[in-house]
Amino acid sequence: MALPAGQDGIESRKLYEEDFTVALPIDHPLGAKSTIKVQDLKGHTLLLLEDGHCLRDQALEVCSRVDVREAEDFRATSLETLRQMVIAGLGITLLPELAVEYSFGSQRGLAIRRFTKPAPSRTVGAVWRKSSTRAPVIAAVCDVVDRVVASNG
Amino acid sequence: MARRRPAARVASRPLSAKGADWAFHAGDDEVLDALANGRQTESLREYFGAPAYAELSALAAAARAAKKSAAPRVLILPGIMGSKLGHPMRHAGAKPRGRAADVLWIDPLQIAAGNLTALALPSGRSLKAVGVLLFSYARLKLQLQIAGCNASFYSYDWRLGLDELGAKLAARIARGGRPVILVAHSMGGLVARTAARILPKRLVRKLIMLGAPNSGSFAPVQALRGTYPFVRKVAALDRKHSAEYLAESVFCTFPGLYHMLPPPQFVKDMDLFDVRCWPDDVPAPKPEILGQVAAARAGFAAVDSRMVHIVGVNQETVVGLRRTAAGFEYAMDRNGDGTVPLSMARLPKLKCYFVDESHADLANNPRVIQAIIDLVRRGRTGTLPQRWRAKTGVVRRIDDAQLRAEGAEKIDWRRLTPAQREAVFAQLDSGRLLPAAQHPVA
Repeated sequence: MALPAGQDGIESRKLYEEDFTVALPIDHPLGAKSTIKVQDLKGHTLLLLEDGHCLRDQALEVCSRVDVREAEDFRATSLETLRQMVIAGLGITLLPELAVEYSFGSQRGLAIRRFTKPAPSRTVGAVWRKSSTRAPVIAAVCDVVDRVVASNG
Repeated sequence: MARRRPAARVASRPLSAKGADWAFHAGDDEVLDALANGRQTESLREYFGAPAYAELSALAAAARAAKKSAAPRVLILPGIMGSKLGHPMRHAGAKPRGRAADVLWIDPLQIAAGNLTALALPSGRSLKAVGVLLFSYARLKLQLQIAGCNASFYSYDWRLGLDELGAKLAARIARGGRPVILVAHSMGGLVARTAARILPKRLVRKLIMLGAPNSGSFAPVQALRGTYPFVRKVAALDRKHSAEYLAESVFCTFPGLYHMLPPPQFVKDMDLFDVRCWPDDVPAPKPEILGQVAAARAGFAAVDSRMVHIVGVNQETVVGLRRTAAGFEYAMDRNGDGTVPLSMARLPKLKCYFVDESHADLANNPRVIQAIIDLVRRGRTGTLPQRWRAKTGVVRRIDDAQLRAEGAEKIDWRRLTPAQREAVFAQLDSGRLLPAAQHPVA
């Protein structure tokens, strides 16, 4: 999950950073830009996951310095919902890079643009209870993830 | 998908080179226009069967004359396999580049040629929903229009998962920006509930479900095992592939089927979302798709006062299963619509109307259609009862091995007489076997 986890009694370990990308309807004016600055989002309608998803809070934080409108009417329950809402032209959204690259769903009708560097990003890590007896297993899994991330640059 | 009303007793005319082909490949509006205008008579009579053709022609003409209403838009969602899949034509009037470029599901000639394998995902992703199966849903739409409702079809690619389909429907309704009433058959009910979870309440004024497998059904279990009677009947028409092959390489790639598997609390001592609970032989579900089921099923809107359910009862239905040496063994009784057990259709607090009708034919039943019109216009109906006494009849058991032994003969569509073709097509997804197999069901 995304860090910081921010709860007592749990341990965490950072695994990797991933950039946010901007998902746009295919004919959206921002699509004309090769990369997008956070300020470019000003005035646009932002679609977000419903309350309780960390991605929602992260997206709000990214956009905290610019004046965007949140489409409050919809309870986007999943990334797939966000994608379909964007394709339908109801607004734009921020997607973490991995959700773009490895999505099983169709990307047709969706334009993905990177942010201008330094791109806003989030930290993803492993989280477990301090009392867990499986710490060695968790560490081994984290090592594997570290190696994969390292080998993919 | 619903079967047509019982086949015509009058012998159909022989299929010409074009035959019913036009109707299999035309768009929904083209067909309804032709029905109203008396065009493509021969093709449509073969497609619908003579009695249904006569009735639908009259309905189509009456619907055209009916006053257009400003009332909320009614979207009709078909069930699983109830939408046509194919390659949409580039522009109106364009000639299809041969049959494969056009409608694949459902066309008996395409099935016979072994082309169903093109439906397999993800490679078959370029095929799209291009309309609904009109012999299942035309009557409902036309009757709603005659009653003054602003009714349209919403076809969808039933191979895909409920999460994706629900999001697509929600996006479509949101883009329209105006409230809709949803009339949703079978799987459509779950697509609608998923969309209702996403949308603000004002945009979905009412949801009328017909035989929705709210807690799943055992039909997808059999479909993934290649033992579902419908899959076996389709396979009998396929000159190149067995039911097991089609199940393993085509149906087992459809997340939509998996998302209607029964959750653990509805199957004694078994978790069908866990691949280890399935028999070791093939066809078998794919673990990576099975792993997504619980998440997809978590996206349904909770029951509220906008929702009503019309359920079929008194049909022999698989209501339970257990593991045996032969694979799965299924228990059947009459507490269901032939596909969805009543206990898995109903939900607490969901208002329910009952009808003695099979799952496939719910949207074609005249009393169901009248009840839907009442519900759309007034929010209640006296056409169907709200009570039904559960049947305590004998439970019959049948297992995968027995189901595999039935209907294994191939049927050569090209050699069938028109009357036989009509009978085969009419019974494709009924609980019965194909006439050529000559086996009693029991």
